[in-house]
Amino acid sequence: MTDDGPSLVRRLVSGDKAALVTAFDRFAPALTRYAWAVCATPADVEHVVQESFLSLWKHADGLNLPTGRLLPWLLAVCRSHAGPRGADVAGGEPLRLVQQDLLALPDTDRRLVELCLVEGRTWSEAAQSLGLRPGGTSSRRGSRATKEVQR
Amino acid sequence: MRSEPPVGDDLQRMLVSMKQNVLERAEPRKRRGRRTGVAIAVVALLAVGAAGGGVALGLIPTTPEAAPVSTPSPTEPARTITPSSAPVLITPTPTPTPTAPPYSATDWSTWTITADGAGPATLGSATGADDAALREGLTPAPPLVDDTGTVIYQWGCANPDARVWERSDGKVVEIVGDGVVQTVVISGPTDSSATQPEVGPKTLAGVGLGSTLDEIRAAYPNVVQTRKDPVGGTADTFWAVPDGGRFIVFQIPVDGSSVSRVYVGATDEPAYDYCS
Repeated sequence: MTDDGPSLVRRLVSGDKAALVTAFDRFAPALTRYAWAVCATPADVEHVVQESFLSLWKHADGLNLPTGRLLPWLLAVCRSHAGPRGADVAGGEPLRLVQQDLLALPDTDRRLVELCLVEGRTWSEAAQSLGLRPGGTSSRRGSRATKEVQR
Repeated sequence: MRSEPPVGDDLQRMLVSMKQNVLERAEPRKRRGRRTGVAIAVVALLAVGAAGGGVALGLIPTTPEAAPVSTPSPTEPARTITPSSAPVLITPTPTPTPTAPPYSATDWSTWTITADGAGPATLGSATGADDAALREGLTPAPPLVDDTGTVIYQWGCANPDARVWERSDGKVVEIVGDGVVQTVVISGPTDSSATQPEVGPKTLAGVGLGSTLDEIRAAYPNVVQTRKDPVGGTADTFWAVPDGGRFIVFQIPVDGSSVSRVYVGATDEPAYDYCS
């Protein structure tokens, strides 16, 4: 099974909730393990995982997936949601629980994850440092979504 | 947490709960039939069950060669998230609550939204005490069942304290706690960002679902914007009117221009995700 990011994102943008179901089934176990490693309580884990998928749904039309894979982006968003809830997101230890997931990724995606989750880089910083093209045209709504997530 | 993450049935239960919550809160982009949404949610739930042990054990399938570069515009997982503003504090001004005029239980457009509730949905009434009257104009939300027929959520909602009543043009939710109704939520037929229809009950000043912010301000010069969520929360705006120690709060979708929900309760910052 592939990550199939671009195809899923296209369906999400069209309002296809079945795509959200697919994304959840595919990536929620990994996000749950990562969240479990950084969050203080199971309630926090549930919160950050849910919010990560809601962010995916809400911002699907503005996503920058320079490698075409969703998992790195979702993990980075998951970290963003966990931080304000007092989660211990520092260092590489939390990646222990998603090691198998990361091993299944190409090197570039794995490096993206490390830059964002271990070094605390923003998504665009990480992509830029790896020389990745940010990807595509920016729709008006996409621009607004970017502002919302960045502020 | 330093403990090992859940696996097997424990993980499955957690995933089912989270997925249900995500699907309930993922607001439609387009105006769609409610039946379709419910069907998708049920299918989704069944799918989690069918996903089975492989996923539960955390064995994410391997990913082949790099996919083509995507073309969407950039959306950025931020390094940190901070609230967009400090909480707004409102000092309730004790004022006598006007008496709501008589209404017909079967016609919710005759109900009046006050600090006491709306129509038969009354703050402080015992859990279930309003059911008979509510049943005259609405029907209980269908329970969510799993593939064995076991009821998962009695009111179709992950929060067992949210008692959801539906009608074709909207719904009424009573959120109970300590055995009594603590919050009443009135919402229209859709949570989408499209213009909300003017349906259902209104306040004594004549605003309700479908009213614009200008109309709210005209009716309530003391209205204050309250809840401002950090990134990841709702971007909808919330406008609170203090009333006798309680609040009537109007929610306007981020991409919309009129009220999609009205809350009555003790807080000026209601939980919009009351089903979680």
